[in-house]
Amino acid sequence: MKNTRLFSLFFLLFCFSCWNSDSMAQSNRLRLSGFSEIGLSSRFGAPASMEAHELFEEYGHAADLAESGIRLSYPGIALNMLGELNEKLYFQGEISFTIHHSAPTLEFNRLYLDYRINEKFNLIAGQFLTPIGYLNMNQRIYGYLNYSLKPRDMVNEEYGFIPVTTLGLQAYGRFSYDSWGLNYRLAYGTGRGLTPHHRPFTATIGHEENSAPGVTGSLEALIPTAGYELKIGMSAYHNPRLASVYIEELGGLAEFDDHGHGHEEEHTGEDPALPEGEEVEEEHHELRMQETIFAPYIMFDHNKFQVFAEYHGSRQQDTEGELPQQSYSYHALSTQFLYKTQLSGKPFYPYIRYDFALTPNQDGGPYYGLVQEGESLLRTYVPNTAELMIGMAWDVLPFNRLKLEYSRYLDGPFLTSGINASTSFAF
Amino acid sequence: MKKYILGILVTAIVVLGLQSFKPAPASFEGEGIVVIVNKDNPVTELNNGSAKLYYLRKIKRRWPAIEKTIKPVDRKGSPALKTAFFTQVLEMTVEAGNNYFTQRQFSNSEMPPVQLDSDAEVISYVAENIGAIGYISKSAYQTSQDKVKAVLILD
Repeated sequence: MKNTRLFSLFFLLFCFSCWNSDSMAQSNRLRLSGFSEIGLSSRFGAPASMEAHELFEEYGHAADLAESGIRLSYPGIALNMLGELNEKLYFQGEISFTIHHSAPTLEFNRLYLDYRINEKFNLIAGQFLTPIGYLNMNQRIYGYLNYSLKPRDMVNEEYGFIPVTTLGLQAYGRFSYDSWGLNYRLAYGTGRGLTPHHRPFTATIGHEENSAPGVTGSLEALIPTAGYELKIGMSAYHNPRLASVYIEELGGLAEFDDHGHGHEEEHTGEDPALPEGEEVEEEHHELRMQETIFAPYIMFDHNKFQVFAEYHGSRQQDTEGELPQQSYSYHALSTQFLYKTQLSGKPFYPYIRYDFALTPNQDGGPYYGLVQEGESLLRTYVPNTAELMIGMAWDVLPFNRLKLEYSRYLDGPFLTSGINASTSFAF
Repeated sequence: MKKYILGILVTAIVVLGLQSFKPAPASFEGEGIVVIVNKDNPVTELNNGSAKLYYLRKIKRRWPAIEKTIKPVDRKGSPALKTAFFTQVLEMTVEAGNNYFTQRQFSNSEMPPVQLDSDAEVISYVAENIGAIGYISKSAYQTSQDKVKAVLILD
């Protein structure tokens, strides 16, 4: 179980809330809710990129994802607790029971106190969603909060493209006039490397043994447009110490002791990622890497349609010149057009969506990020992807959303076509 | 086979997309909707747009003059009055409203509206909570004008 202390605090707050649940619920001061979904997916056809497919089969993490077949998916249950302690003090906690690679996992997503001073200035302390972009703050990967079916890789915690949550402090507020509004958030805390030996970092070159704090800032403008909603936002994140250990070779292994200290001596060994019989000499380098992420977005919400786009640009820089190239840039984009109509009197949303992810280019060749396997780190192939999705969401019952989607990979190691269906719900 | 599936999906999207969205007309035996607030709330009048912004807490989370948390009050289930309020004032379906408040709870730590069974309960709650904003039928308001204040009346 991750973040044991935070979980203990969550459990205590949960017990307190249950003890007071009658009075708190009756006065609408306690709200227990959650999300879950079940999905069925299939992929078929030829790989979008045969070269990427062969690399992924050999050096990719969870290479079975690039194969054909029908899969049942059950991401798990997310439980959320929101409580009002008094007029100014709130708390929110969220845990997830998920299944990662067939193994059940209890994850702590967030727990924080929200001290509401006034419209312009408020404080949050604890573990909260990092205010990067619109998707991470408002939809994440929960099916009920998204109209489209496929979870977005750019806010998937397992892929580590952005620090999805931060443990620290946040100031936030809103300046408004008439129907105009300007929201801001400023956060300081540990997003990367919260528990460095229990999270995969597939989008980082190096690894940080000691959690390093970063700073996040976001601005969002709410612009009135004839009664409909236009949001334009911009957020940025900076971490001055992203990584201090670099593992050079493909399939390189690192061993860490119980205190998370890496070994700096050279050692050799048979590498499971390489063809049988070959050995690799591994070397750990000390380095200093910084990371900066920009994430602008736009959302236009009309009563008949919705247009959305969000871009993530990340740059990881080697400040001491230890790595083969000085900086590694990652780009991702998600765009979506949604039409709002009705089917049998229930809200019905056909949509079209396009995503792409460009991983850091290493001297013109493929990109190899880091994934944790037990106590070891493996350098594995992380592909570029480009995907077009066409589908429909139907709110057939209260708090239940059915989805059907056809997806087509335009780039990457995965098979070109896929038909996916899911039912997601909130409770 | 795959081309047929793609063709069916595209056709379905185009055909269904030609339907225009028309919220269900509000009708509950000819009564009007009255949006009410606490008598100690300095707000005296709201137009449709302002009532929507306050109820949904889109721009503000507190009543400006009294710095009290805005507490929207809703009805349980989907009675005709609720459908009419959501359609005429909030400009959304009840289902879209459910989605909206679920979203706001997740991302903004905002409590969803209190859900009550009847006009009488709504009047009682609004009268006791200075930050509350709710909606009742016109006939219910006519017998409770001493308890709550009307800020928007829709026939």
